[in-house]
Amino acid sequence: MIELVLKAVAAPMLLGAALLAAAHRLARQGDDNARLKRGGAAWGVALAAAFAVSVFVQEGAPRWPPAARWHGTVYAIAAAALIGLATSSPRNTFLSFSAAAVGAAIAAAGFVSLPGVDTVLWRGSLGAVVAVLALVLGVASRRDGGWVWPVGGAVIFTVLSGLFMQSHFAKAAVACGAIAACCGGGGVLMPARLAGRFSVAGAVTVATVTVVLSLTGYAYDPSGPLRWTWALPTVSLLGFVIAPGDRASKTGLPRKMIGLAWIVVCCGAAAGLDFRARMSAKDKAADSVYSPY
Amino acid sequence: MNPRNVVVAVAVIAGLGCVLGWRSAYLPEAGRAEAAPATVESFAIDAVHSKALFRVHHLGAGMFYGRFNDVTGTIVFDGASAAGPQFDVSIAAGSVDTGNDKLDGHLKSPDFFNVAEHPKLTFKSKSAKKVNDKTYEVSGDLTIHGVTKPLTAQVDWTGTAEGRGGKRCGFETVFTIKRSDFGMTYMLEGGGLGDEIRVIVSLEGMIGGGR
Repeated sequence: MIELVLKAVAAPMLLGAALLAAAHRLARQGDDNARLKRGGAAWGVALAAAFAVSVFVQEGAPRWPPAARWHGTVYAIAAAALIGLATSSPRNTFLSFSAAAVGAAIAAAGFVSLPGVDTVLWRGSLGAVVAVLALVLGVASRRDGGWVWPVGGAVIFTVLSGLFMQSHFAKAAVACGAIAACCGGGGVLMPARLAGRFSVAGAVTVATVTVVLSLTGYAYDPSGPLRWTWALPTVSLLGFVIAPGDRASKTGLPRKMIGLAWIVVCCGAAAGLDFRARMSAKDKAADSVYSPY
Repeated sequence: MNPRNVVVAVAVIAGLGCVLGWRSAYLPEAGRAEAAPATVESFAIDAVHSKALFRVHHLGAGMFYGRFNDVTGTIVFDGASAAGPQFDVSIAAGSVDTGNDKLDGHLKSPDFFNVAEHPKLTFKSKSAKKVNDKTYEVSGDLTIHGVTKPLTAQVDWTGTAEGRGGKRCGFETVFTIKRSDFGMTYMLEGGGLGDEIRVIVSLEGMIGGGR
């Protein structure tokens, strides 16, 4: 177990951190706008790299067509990160980042072919959700979300990891753990003013990763007692839309706190409801003595 | 002929007939083999009386057993022929049963059998060679986890019988495979679960309704 965590979680996290550190070093050059965009692009690439490395450590070198259908998520997420990277030039415009969202949507719908949800309707819906969320988060990422981006990301992917664990899909749980570790580690390593600026590139990647992995969990959990809970991490992404800014006009509370609270409530509900449903399903005594490790 | 002798002779012949009939219907092994089918027949695998078991080394310590409950397919067999039986066996991966629901769920996940993508384990024989009166060497294609590999195994003919509404035949085999050959590598590193899997398959085929 310790070997697996070191290889499939710690190593991807260190790779992600190295990418972020390199971006930080590069970001010292150029104007403010260019620096922030490089930082955001680095987030996207770091998260995708952490996921990809974790999957490859566990499943071996990438192949096409993929050995298992869920490996297609790696290609979709990598494509989203590269598309985000391509849109991180200083000449970035609303049109270009709209194109990035559409590109990520096409990549998700094209590469992700999961059992039971590979109809045109499912894949079209997946692409539409990715496009909408990438656009919404892209707009939100133009303003400083502060620590909510790395902390919220760590919460979302930790909970997704837990949901995968509950559904007995340990390999995906470990890969999600690698992304969560990358978010947390990157948040600590990056200077505060860069850590909170995921920019369009980071936003497109986060949207794609979350939606694609949520659908993956749903597809491979056909006997799950509460499958709809897989949608809650995706819903929690709206916390990143709430977070930018100082204080909410009605409540007077810091918007970052409200944004993070939204993420924690959605993800907490997903984890809690799923855990409760599975425990009450049956065979509690047997459940208590088995661990996938 | 003395009528008394005639009655005694009839009684002896009838008694012998009863004993032989009882032997062929109920005695295991020897009796059943004598009732070999004279022509090639196709038997449907009786899912109730057929099972596939597997054994794997767990944590380098104990031998862990599990089974598949849903075994279906056909057996084409002529006991009098040297050609041997033909098997077309299909096992529902989702019927894996270890007696622990959570462990069953993990075995069905993409970490192991990936039931959502590969719902069936199959074996289709290509040839069979008679080793002795009771044993055949059967070769064919084994598909597990979406990967097909050639397999040759010694298959024992455990008997053929008629009764309970139909004709039945039985076969049993024990063979060993490496799960890594079929792309199942979870917990292989570090010796969490062994690579070699011993498989025990017992099949009962039937013609007619049966029970």
